Amino acid sequence: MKGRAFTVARALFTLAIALAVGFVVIVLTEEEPLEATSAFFLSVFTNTFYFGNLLSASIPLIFTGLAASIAFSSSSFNLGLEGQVYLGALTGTYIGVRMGGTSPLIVVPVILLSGFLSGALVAGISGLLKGFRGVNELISSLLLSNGIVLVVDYIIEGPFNDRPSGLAASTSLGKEVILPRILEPSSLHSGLFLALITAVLLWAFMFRSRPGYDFRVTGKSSIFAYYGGINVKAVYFWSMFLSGGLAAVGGTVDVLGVHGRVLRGFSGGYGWNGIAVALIARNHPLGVIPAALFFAYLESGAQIASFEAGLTPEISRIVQSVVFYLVTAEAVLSFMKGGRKVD
Amino acid sequence: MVSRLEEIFLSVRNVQKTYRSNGVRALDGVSLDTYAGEVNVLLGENAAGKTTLMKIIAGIERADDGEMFMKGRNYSPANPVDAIRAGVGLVSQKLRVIPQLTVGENLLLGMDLSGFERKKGRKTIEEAVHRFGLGIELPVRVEDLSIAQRQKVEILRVLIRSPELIVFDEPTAVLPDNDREELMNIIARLKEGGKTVVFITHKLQEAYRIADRISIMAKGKITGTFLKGEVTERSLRTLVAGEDLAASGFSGRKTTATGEVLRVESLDVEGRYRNLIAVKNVSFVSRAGEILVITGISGNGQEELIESLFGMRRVLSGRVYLEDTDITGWTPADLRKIGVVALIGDRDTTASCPGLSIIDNVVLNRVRDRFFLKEKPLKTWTRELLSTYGVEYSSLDDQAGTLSGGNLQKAILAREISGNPRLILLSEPTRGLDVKHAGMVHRTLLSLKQNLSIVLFTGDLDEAISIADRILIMYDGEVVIDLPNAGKIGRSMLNRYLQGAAGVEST
Amino acid sequence: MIEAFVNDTLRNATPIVLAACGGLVTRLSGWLNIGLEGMILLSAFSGVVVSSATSSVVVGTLAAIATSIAVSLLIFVMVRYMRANLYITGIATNLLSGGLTVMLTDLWFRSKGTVVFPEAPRPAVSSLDFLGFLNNLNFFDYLAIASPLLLLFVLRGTSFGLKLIACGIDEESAYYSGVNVNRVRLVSFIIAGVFSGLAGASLSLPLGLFVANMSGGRGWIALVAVIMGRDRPFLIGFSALMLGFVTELSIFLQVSTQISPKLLLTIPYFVSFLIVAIFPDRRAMLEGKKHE
Repeated sequence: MKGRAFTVARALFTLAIALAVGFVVIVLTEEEPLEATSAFFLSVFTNTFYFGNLLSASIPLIFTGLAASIAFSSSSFNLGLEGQVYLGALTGTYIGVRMGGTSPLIVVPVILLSGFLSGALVAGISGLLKGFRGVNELISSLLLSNGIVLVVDYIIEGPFNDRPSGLAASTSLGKEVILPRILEPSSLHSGLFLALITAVLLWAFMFRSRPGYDFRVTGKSSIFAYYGGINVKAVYFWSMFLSGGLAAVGGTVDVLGVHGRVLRGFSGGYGWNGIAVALIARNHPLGVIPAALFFAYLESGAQIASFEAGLTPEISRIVQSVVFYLVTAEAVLSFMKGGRKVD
Repeated sequence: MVSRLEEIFLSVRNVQKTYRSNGVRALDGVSLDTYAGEVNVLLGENAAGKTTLMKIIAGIERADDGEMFMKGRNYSPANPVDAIRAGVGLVSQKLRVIPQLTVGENLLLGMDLSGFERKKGRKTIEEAVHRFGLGIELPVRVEDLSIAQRQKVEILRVLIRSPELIVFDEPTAVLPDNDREELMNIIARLKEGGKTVVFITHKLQEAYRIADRISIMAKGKITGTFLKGEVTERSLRTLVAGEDLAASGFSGRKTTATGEVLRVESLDVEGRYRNLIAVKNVSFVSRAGEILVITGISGNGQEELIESLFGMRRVLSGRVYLEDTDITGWTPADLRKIGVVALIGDRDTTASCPGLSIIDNVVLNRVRDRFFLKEKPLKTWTRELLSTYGVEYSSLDDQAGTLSGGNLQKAILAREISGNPRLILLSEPTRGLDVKHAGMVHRTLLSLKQNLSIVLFTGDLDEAISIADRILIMYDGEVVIDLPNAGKIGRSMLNRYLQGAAGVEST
Repeated sequence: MIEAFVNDTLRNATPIVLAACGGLVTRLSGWLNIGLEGMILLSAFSGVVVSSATSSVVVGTLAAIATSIAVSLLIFVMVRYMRANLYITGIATNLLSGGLTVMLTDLWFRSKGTVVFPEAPRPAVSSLDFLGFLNNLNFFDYLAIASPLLLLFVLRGTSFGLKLIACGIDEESAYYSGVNVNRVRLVSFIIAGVFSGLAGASLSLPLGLFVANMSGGRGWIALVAVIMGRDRPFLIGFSALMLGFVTELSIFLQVSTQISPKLLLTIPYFVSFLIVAIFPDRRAMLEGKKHE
């Protein structure tokens, strides 16, 4: 379909430019630009460890990408993704620790569910406020999230801290609960399948279910939705609810698969990257998968390069913001199709 | 009464404009000359393109192609500021004075003052108010004024900039009769002052009365320009409609109204802004098998009334019943569940969503009762529905914005009717449709009315007479006339009723 | 004691009030600039760097203002000419500022956290010992106190202000009336740049250092003040003051109690959240019935 091909081409073009910018920044700021560049762009593919880590890093991004896209589709801005990720991680870990000893077949689903609910309820508050009090969810979700991150930090440094290790981290989950690894020695785990399945489910929800249809219609025109019999206030709530839940699950899965506990700062931008992912994927659940891979690639490349060539990891943040700019500047890219307005 | 000078002030040559958002070709090569010291009337039906042309002249929109010349020199305003500076003023149909500001502030707004000069402006305003004879105090908030007064403020705001060309876009649409005289006087004064006046209207009598020159516009083209003496009112009618309107194909009908469907009791409805009451103490009943038409001069609360019946406008007091159920203030969601449907509001922003696909627009109501959406069956259903109503489109997945106005209206109507409703509410269902499509809509409504009740609003008296079983006339938010359309009511009778109703408020 | 508290509150409120004034102006113009956080951060950085390099508070402040205006204009240009989404561009700006400042501090000063500029000149402070709570206030603080008044004058007393208010009420009607809405927006974005630049400078110059993420959420809190204050400068000033108070409270409690600093730092956020949650925004509410 013409429209689809254009969307993909545009996404690729955007990413190419963003990478080019990254390259330019590296050249300008590094003493050994070639070393840094190859570390940044290429090392990820050089061995299983790096590549596996890349895939592993994409898992939470798929979740936060889905979270952001479901909110955007309904015209809601969930900026609280970071806090929801943390909350999901903490809640999941706590429940998991408390249920230590019970069979993993029961514990793991409970952990996931509790993680989901924690983020969902928090984001849902913003959704309710939007529907019933007209409160701007962008700000309410962000404020709440900033506060939550601090609270979680306090908890894992204080009451829930793993004293013997001396780390800023929580108590660990039992080994039996940790998700099985794929591709050792990297950190890639079977949570990947969960992420992929979730993406497919979300696609089905958005395009083959009536509630998903309601979300999309409300996102395009809330007055048309209201007039047509859609309960717009319910949409505001449920879209934020699902969004927060998905983001939180991203955090929970990261704990279950990679760390086994909540580490301070483990998230490192999953929230904002999730928004970038959704933007590139134009809110399409299946498009989130390649987009998440790209951003994981960015982050991994930056980390490896900072390791091996002393590159400032902030490069990834800069490239990320360039992607934001490019994605939202329609006119810059619309020349590709002679100015036709897509979406 | 032709100006001795015969001087062309503004010349428009072959202007074209297509709206990208919905592909509507509003102007299809318009060429027009306007003469100084004359009232140049632009006459045409709704959606003929008159307002679009004026927007281009006033710099609010830009033409895709064509040229404009002012006194021989090229004229192409990039925005309203350019146009105003060049000497063009527009008094819009939808008044552009800001109600929350005072009269003085609104006047000040229109002036070209740099950052800090507020005091200087005040002086100019006071002089202008005096000269114009506004008769309203400057510190009064516009929201406290009547429509006629607001229009005067708007006119003065335009005149303060000393324009050479002044466009009036359907100015009498919202004015009661007494105030119309005053407006005509103002226009006469402008003409005598050598200004170029362009007067847009769709009312033949008005055009005939006030014009020095009449240009007829239809379907985005100027189809003819005549000096007043050259043409009669009747021939104008034919030229405008493209066919003889006298035979609109209706010869009275037997009302088969049965049980009561809708009962409205003492309804008060909120208006555009918080302290305005648009509908006052309105009561009426509508029955199955009946088409109830609410009409009168637009802007007297009719649209607000219909909107409030569908939960799209706040009811301040009173009750609404659907048979025995109290539906006052119900949301559209609940109303649809019990069989009330509506075609109201702006076609493009409320009743449809141009950014969504056609199929997404049409299945809106159908899918309310289910959780899973199956693509194939829905597509089949949609295709059948749209073909029954003769809607033309290329693909169901195309954006609804690509449909033409007439097709979009048909699609919306199809959607609303498809659910077997008990009550249909409509607001200007044939607005912007050409005669063929309007006729189709009428026929559809007439064929449906058997088992349900239809309540519709139209500002067009001819339409009202041709399809109504019962006519309600509203003036200033109240129902002043409620009578059956027994086939004997002629337009002139209705007009007299209207004037009588308007005359309720005499100065 | 109370005097010190009030004094600290005033000083804490300064960047918030300043940024909020800029935010208000953009909000009235119809395009709320949510990149304030990033603008404040970048201008805090450039302000202290330049003031240190030139040994001049004035030049440093001007640099801060210039940086902030440049960033604000970037957002404006993207939204106006490239049809970018206003909110996403704002977010992008916040992200860019974060990354850029860290990268530059690392690049130029070999530090990832705090960079101290010992030779940087500090702005003068008032010594009004007899009016304890007004003591130790610098130019920025006085400006912050005066800003709501200044803004009120601009809104009510100038024709630009009138145009701005008109845009805030009914943009289309303002456009038809001959107001150059785009020009009004451009000017308001520049004004926002000025105020945010001052806010940033007020953070870094008095201390002579730069810390990563120095803006600390103040840009977002300023937005809260803008929302709370509706369209009234004084209400906004008051809201910002309240929020400054709340920030001060959390600092005070950190010092004087055993409660974890992390928890106390959440106070400004949660309080702001409660405030935002309690004030219903009638204009924004979808009653579905606001049919203009």
